[in-house]
Amino acid sequence: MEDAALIEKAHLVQTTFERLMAELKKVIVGQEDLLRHLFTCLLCGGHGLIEGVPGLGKTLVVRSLGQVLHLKYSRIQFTPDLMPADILGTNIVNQDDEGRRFFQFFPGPIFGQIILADEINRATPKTQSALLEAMQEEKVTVFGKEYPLEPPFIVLATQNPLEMEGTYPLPEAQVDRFFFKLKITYPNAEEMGEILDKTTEEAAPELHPVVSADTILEMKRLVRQVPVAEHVKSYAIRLVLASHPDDPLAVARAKQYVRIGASPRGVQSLILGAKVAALFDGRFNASLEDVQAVALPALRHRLLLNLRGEAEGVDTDAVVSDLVRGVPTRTRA
Amino acid sequence: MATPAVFPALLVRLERRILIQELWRWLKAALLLALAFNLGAAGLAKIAGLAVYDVSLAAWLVLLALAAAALYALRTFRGTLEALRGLDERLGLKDRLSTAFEYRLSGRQSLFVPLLYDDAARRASEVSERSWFPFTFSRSDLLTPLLASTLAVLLLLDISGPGPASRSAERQLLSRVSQQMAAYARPARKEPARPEVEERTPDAYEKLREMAEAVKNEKMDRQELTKQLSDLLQALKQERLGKVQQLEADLSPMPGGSMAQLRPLAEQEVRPENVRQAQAQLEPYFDGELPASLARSLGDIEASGKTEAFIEQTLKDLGAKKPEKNKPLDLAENAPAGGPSREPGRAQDRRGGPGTSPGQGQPSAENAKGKEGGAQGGEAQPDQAGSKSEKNEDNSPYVAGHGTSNEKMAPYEMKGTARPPQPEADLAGQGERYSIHVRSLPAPGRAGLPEEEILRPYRQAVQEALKREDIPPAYRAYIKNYFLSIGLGQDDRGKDDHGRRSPD
Repeated sequence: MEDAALIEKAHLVQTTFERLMAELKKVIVGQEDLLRHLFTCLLCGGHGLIEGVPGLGKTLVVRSLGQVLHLKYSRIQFTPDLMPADILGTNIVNQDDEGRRFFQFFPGPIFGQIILADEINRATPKTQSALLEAMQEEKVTVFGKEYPLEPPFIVLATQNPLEMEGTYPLPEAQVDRFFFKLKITYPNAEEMGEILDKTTEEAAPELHPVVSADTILEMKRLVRQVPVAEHVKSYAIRLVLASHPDDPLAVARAKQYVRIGASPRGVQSLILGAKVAALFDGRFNASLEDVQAVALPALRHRLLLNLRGEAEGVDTDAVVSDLVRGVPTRTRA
Repeated sequence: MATPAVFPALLVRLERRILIQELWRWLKAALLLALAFNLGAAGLAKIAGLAVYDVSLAAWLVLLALAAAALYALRTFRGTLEALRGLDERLGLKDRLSTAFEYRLSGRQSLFVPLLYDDAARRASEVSERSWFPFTFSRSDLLTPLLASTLAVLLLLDISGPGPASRSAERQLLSRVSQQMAAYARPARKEPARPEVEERTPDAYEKLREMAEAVKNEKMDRQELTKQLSDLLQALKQERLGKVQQLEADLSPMPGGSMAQLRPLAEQEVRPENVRQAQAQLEPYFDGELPASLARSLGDIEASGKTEAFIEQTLKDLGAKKPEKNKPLDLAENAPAGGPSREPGRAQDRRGGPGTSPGQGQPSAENAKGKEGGAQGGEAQPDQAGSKSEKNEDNSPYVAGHGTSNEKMAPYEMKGTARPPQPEADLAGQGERYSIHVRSLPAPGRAGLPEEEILRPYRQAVQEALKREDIPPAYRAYIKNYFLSIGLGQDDRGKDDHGRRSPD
C-alpha cells in the first residue's frame, strides 16, 4: 500500500497536468507547449514571461489558467502612467468609529496568487521594478512594512515584441527573475478553425478549477525530490558556461554575438525544469534530454546580445540552439 | 512493482558485463599491439635484416603487448558509472541506470529513489543482456586481421631473410670462421712453427684476433665481419704494394735491376712460389745471397700474401664476392702517401715501353749481367748523348725509358736512330710539353698507352725536320708527301708550324 501511495504521489504531476490540459482545451486551442511550460513555472515557483504579437490569446491563456488552478487571480494592465503603488498597494488614511485616524494598507493587485502583468513593457522601469521583490521573495514592502504574498505565487507577464514605441524594455535584473520566457506562436489552419468555432458560435464554456493551491504546493515539493545525476547537472552547468563569450567552453555564436551569458538562475531553471519534464514523462529522474527540452525557455531571455548581435538581428534562440548542439553531453575524464 | 532486490541483482549482472567488456577491450588492444610488435620485429629481421626474430622474442613481445594494453586499459578505464551512462545513451534509458547507480553509490535518499531503482531495473530488463554491450565493429578492428595476415605471410613465405634453420647454420658458420681466424692469428709464442708469419703481419693478426673474439661474443654479425675482413684485405694489399714499390725503387739503379721480377708480387694474389721465383731471379745480382733487408722484404710480402689468401678464403666461406684476381693492383693510385713517387719513372718506362713490357723483351739475367746490356733501352738525353751513348755501346745497363739517372728521354731516341737536330727549345717544341700520366701498369700483352700519345712526338719531330733549311726546297714537298703517304701529318694539314690552323 505504501508503494502504491508513493507511485500515486509520483504520478500526481502527470495526472494533474493531464486534467489541467483537458479543462483548458475547452477554451484554448493548441499551445500545449506553452501551457506545459507555464505549469512548469508554477511547479518550480518561478514566473513566466510570455511574448507574442497581439491577438494570439496571451491574456486568455493566463486568465484561463487562473480559473482552472483555483488560485486568486489578479490582472494588472501595465500602462506608462502606472505607478508602483498601483501594483503594490498603498497606505490610506482611515478613521475608526471613535474618530481616530490611522493609516491602513490597501493591498494592490500584486496580492493575488496568479498575477497577469499584461503588456509589462508599457510601464516605466520604476513601475516594473515594483515587481522585483514580489517575484523573488514572494513578499512586498510598503512603508517599511513587509507583507507576505500568499503561496503559490506566480507572475505571468506578457509583452508585445513588435510595438517598440512607448515601451520600456524590461531591466536585466527583472528579466532574469523570470523562470521561463515563452513565445506564443500563430495557430495553424486547423487550430484557427477550431478557434473560430469556439469563439463565434456559442457562448464561451465555463472553466472549472481542477487543481487546488494545496495540490500545487504538494507538487512543488515533489518536484524537488526528483533525482538528478551528477553528469546531468554538469551538462546544465556547461550549457550555461558555454553561453559566456569569455568562457573556454563558449560556442562560436556566443563568442560572436553575446555580451553577457546566462546567470546561475539559468542553471536552476534548467534543472528544475528538467525535473518537471521528467515527471511529465512519468520518470523519476531528470535526464540530459529533459535539460535540452527546457533549454530554450530557460536561457533565451538570459542572454544579452552585444552591439553586433543587435545590429545583425540575431535571435537568442539561435544562440541557445547552438549551445545545445555544441556542448557535448559527456565529458572525457 | 519490482522487489527492492531487483536493482542490486541487475547491478551485479551489469558490473560483470562491464568487466567482461573491459577485459575484451584489453585483450583486443593486447592482440593488436602483439601483432604490431611482432610484425615490426619480423619485418626488421626478414626484410631489413636488423634483428633476429625467433620464438623467444615473439613471446617477449607478446608479454610486452599485454603489459602495454593493460596500461592502456587502466588509463582509459571508464568505470561502471561511465559505462552505465553509455548504456543509458545507447538504449535510450534517459539516464535511469546511471542516476540510480549514482544514488545507490552515494547513498543519497529521495522520495523517488526507490521508484527510480525499480524503474531502471524494469527498463533494463526489457532489453536482452546481449543488447547491453553489443558487438561493435570499428575501423581499428580491421587492423587486427590485416596485421595477422601480414605477419603470417611474412613468417610463412619467408620473403627474403633467413629462417631459423638458416640462422642456426649461420651461427655455426660464424663460429667455425671465428675459430679459424683465432687459430690462424694465434700469437707466435704459442706456435713457433710459423714465426716468420706471426712476426711479419702483427697488426693484421691482432685485428683477426679481435674480430674472432667479437664474433665469438656475438658482438659482430656476418655482415660486419665481412666488411671488416674486406677492409683488412684491402689494407694488406696496399701495404704489400707499398713494399713492392719500395723494392722497385731500391732496385732500379742497379745493373739489371728491373721491376720485371717483382711484377708478380704486385698482382692481386701472391703465392709463395711467386716470391721464391722473384728471389731466385734476384739472387744472381747479389752473388747468390740476397741482402738481409731484401730477404726480409720478400718475406714480408710472402707473409702478407698468405694472410691475404687466408682472408680471401674466409671471405669466400662467408659468401662474400670474390675480388678480381687477374686485375693488377693500381700502382699509381695506391702508392702509399709519403712513399717514393714512381710516376715520372713510370712515364719514362711507358715511353720506352719495350724495356718493361714482358712482350717486348724483358732483360734476362744475362742481360742484367751486361752481355747484351739493355740494347732495347733508350738513349740518354741529347745533352748527355755523348757519354751516355758511349756507355750504351759499352753495354752499359740502359733500361728502356731510363737513363742512368731519372732524366727524360724522347721515345724516338732509340738506340741506333739518328738523332735529328734539335732547336734550343724542348723536343716537343714551344707548345705542349710531353707528359703522360700513367694510370696503371699494363697487363702482359696489353697496350698501356693510346697510340696517339706514342705517335705525337714522332709527328712533331717530322715537322721539325721538315722545317729545317738544310732540306733542299725542291725536295721538301717530295719528303712531305712521303710522310703524308704513310699516314703521318694528316691531321696537321692546314696548320702552321706551331700547330695552329691557318685562316683558310
